[in-house]
Amino acid sequence: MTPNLMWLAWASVPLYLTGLYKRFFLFAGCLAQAAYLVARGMRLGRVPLVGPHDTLILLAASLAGFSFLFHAAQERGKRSFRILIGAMAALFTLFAMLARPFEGVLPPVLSTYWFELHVGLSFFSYAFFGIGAVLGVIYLGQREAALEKSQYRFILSGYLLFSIAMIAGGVWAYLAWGSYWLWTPKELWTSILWLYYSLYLHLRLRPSWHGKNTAYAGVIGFVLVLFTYLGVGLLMKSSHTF
Amino acid sequence: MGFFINRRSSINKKNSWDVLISQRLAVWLMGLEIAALLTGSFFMEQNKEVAGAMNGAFPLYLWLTRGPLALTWWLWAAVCLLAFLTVNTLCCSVESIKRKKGGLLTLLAPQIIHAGFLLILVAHLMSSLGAAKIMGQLPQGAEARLPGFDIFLSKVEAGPQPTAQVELLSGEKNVLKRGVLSPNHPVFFRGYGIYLEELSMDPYPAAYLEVSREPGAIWAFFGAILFTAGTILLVLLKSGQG
Repeated sequence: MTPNLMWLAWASVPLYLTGLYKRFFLFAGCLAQAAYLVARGMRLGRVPLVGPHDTLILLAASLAGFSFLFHAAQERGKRSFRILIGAMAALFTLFAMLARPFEGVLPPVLSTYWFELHVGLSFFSYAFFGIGAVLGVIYLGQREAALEKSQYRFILSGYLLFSIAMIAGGVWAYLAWGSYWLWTPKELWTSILWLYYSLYLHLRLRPSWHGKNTAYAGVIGFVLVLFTYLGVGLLMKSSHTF
Repeated sequence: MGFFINRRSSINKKNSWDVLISQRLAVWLMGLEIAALLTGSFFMEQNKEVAGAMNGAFPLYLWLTRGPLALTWWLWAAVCLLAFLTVNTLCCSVESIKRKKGGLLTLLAPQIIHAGFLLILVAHLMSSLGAAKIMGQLPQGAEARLPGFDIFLSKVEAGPQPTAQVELLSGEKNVLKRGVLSPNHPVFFRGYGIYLEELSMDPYPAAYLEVSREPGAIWAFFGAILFTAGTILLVLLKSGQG
């Protein structure tokens, strides 16, 4: 029997907060959460991707983990970046710890790789969009062109992952319910999010919109991500309430 | 005089073409599409019974044409905007190919994405016009008539992974196909998918089956593959630009 390593998830909160001062601790927090998710997955015998507890931990760990792509590539804006990423990861982890972990047996319809791919890639893409938003905020303060370019790259990569996540969701829905598309508010909001980032990518093709406008657009995008993830689930009925 | 009229008409044609290929138009259309879907999500939430029929037994086209305009207008608006967006996307791609700006891959990536997007729209159109769904409970040992063939439920087995064995029969009761249904594992036959939704053993063994036709599914899948391939190419090109 694999032990319940909940303390690892708790430990990641102070690690992320210490990461505001030293990058190493941000990395340590990410590792602690990864270890927690692996241990939890081994204990449950499945990938832990059900409910706000699992998905918020995954989002926090992905934010911290993928942020190292920026750390490795850029010189400017690193301190503000580390502070904002650390604060966001700590906040998401705290919210995750408030939610009760889902320990039950999964309904048979959720026992498929398509579900795991759909949820996993969705949260990886949310993390990329979140990093894009953080870079947008820093750009608005520092006006370094390289930051806005990095924001664009993170958002473009997030867009790719999000598109694949939607496709995986469509294949799964087709195999499970006979339709690759269901008309529910959650699906509509997913389309809104996808259209919004398509709009962002088109806006950025216009030279007059480069800089401040696209930076703001990237920040607003993450607000939409959070509403699609948390707001729609809380306020509207959909097929995504497991 | 004829010279001036011809000249004015060619200027008008040029202006119309410039509008059709403009990114500004694409951005506006996407923005308005987002607004229509956003409104729709709240309409769906407030009119759950009407919205529930969108995923019902009949094609969406019937819901759209027979439903009260006060509840369906947002989807009409979304469809009209998508039609304009389709024209804009096609014209933009034609213009890009005509101009041949940049390298071959730089030219191709957005066109592959556009082609994928258009295929997905075609798929939705096909499904909206021709999708069908039949649902019902079938006791073990009983058969039911479907369009073009009959279905016989030979055996059901409960458990963590419930299964239902079915035989698809011709009008003369010849076995056309045998299959085992389980969650996420339908049986496909002559354009129909047969899905196991639920099993019950009490008061008698029976399966709750769904038979659906989704003519756009395969086109949506091809569109999704094209879209993803184009986006991967774009990400690689952008990451190689330093």
